[in-house]
Amino acid sequence: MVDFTPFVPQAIEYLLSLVLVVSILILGARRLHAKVYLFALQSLFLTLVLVCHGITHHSQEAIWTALLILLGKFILIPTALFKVLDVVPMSKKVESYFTVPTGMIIGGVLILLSHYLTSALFPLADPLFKEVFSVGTALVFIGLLMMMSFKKAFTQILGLYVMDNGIFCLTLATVFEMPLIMEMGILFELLLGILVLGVMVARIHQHFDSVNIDELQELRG
Amino acid sequence: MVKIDNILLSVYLVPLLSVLWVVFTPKLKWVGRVQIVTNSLLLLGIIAIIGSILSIGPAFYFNNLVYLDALSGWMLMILGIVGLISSIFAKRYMLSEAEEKITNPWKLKIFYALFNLFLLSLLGMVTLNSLGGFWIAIEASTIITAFLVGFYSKKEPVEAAWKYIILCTVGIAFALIGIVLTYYAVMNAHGSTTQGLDFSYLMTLGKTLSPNLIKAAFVFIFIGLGTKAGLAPLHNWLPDAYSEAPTPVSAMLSGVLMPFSFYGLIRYTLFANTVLDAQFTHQFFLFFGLLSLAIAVPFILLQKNVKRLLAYSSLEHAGIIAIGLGFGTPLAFYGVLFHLLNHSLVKSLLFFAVGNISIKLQSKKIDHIRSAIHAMPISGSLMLLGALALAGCPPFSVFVSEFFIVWSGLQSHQWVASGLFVLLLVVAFGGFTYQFIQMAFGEKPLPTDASPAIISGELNQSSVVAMVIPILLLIILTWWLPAPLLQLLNQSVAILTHKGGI
Repeated sequence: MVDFTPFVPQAIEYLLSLVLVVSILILGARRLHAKVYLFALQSLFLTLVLVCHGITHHSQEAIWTALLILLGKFILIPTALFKVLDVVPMSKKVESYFTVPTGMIIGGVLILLSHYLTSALFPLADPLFKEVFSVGTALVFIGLLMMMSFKKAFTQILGLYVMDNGIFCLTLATVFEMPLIMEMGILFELLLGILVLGVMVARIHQHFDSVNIDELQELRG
Repeated sequence: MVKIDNILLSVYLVPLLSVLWVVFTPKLKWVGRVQIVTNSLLLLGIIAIIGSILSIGPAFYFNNLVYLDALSGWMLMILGIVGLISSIFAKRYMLSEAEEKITNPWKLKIFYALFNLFLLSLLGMVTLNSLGGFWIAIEASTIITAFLVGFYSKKEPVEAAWKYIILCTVGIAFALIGIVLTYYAVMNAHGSTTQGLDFSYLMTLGKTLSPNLIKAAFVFIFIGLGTKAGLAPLHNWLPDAYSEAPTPVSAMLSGVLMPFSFYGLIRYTLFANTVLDAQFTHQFFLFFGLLSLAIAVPFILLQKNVKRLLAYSSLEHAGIIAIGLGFGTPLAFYGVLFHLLNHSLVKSLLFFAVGNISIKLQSKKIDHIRSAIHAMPISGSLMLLGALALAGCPPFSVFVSEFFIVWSGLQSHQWVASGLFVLLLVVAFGGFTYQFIQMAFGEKPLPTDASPAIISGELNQSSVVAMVIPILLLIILTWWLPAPLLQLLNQSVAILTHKGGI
């Protein structure tokens, strides 16, 4: 049996940079299907970070949690999202308040910002911790950016899930593993949430003949 | 002697069994009645639980999963009462064709199934010992109520449900970050434990935790639960959701979900105060409470839609409660807890009365609702009494609790905050009573050919029962708080002031 432990920190670094690249690509993708694929990829990389962590800490529980999250975020949630895309008749092009390059640049700025924020908050912490933490913060920011800048209800859901990946990353940085019951509860809520949001998108389309949230202007004041 | 464990278990099982019954029954006519029975059983169970809390004090159940003390008992009582009157009101309301003709029997079944699941998630929120468990229950309540808010297939409810679920989920996600930070602080000080998020465990840690981390965590949790409670500035979902949901659901949202979100906030703040300087959390509550009040008041004065008017009044009262928590004296806590109950009673009464009247006069627009007292003698007059009570008129108990909060502010020498608070309350009082007196007594619009003549009378008996119970309670509670309730209230206040704590 080969001992992988020395390579693990390096592997985590590579995975984290891949996560960041993917999140910029999510902002840049012009088709909704591509965004969902990229989200699945991002979840995969994050789970691999958890697996690496599990190897260094010799924690079996981490591996089980990773499997659970892989099943949820890599398989079930993207499948459900594709289902929504198939069922609801909408144009598969992304519409945004910014042009695509502007969105990507803002994403890059947010990544830098979260990096400096982390250095300022924890000047003395372990460098690996800082990296994971700053990636987590960046993902939360990018998720919020997606929710605010894209016009379709569908992209708001994706933003929410990117934000959730960010929280997962923060969990990795800080507590490494939450009590397993909590982890399961969160995953269950996420799955339920995707069902509810999918149904809502379908109903918005049914009533407004569009899934652009610009159209949601019935209620004011 | 029945063991409390069994009563507790049956309290969880009652709504669950009710869900199963609703889904499989072929007898649609009975669904509403069975819901009333369900909620009565729930209330009985809750009374038994409160009895045990009073006799044996705070205790753990089911392997530390559930922790019950006077504060959770007080909250459970609100759930029991408001749940029962909402179910009584829903019985005929859901069958009426005013909002939408329910042709598909599954639609009715789905409503009641969701209603019971909502009850279950609410029970989870106030009984679970773990902060994580609370988070799961509150997120479940968001997902369930999103469907209840968007129950009618029209444009507006769908829009309201979308805003509701997106804003609240983002808020709750922030709360999750706060929970992660809390656990991090606990882990740094004491290592990884499965009970690391239990409220009872957290309360014992005190100064051993890092204050900076807990400060950050408190801010995140305040944003998250504050969004759910409807505090400004993340309140945008609130008027939409309250005004578009079916009336019994509006009453439950405003009367139970809002106090329960405050419950989580109170529990976390109690813990945070053991680590931080209490001044920090108090100022947070005070600032956002005043902000909510200041934002709500202009909307109350200029509102055109009557259900949205009630929603903005909920925002106002969320502000009042936060201000009370911000003053942070025992008297203020007494006022806050009492106000939570009073507000739930009066707000459900008003939602019912206004729901009835807007069905009868076929409009939710304030301009179109005139001389309601002639169209519906009972609903109209109860609406007026409820509006006076909500605005804070004596002899209703809302006056008593608001008075306690104002008085505690003056006692603790928070002159600026108390002054602003009283000023905003007075303006809201004026706007609110003006709007409702217009609706109750205002000139009738000239009858046109298109509008059918309105025959004076009530819609149905069950809605009258649902409205009479809260108004009677509001009047009785002003003069006389029954001894067990007073004991429960005093013990809850002792928990909030760290005297009867864990």
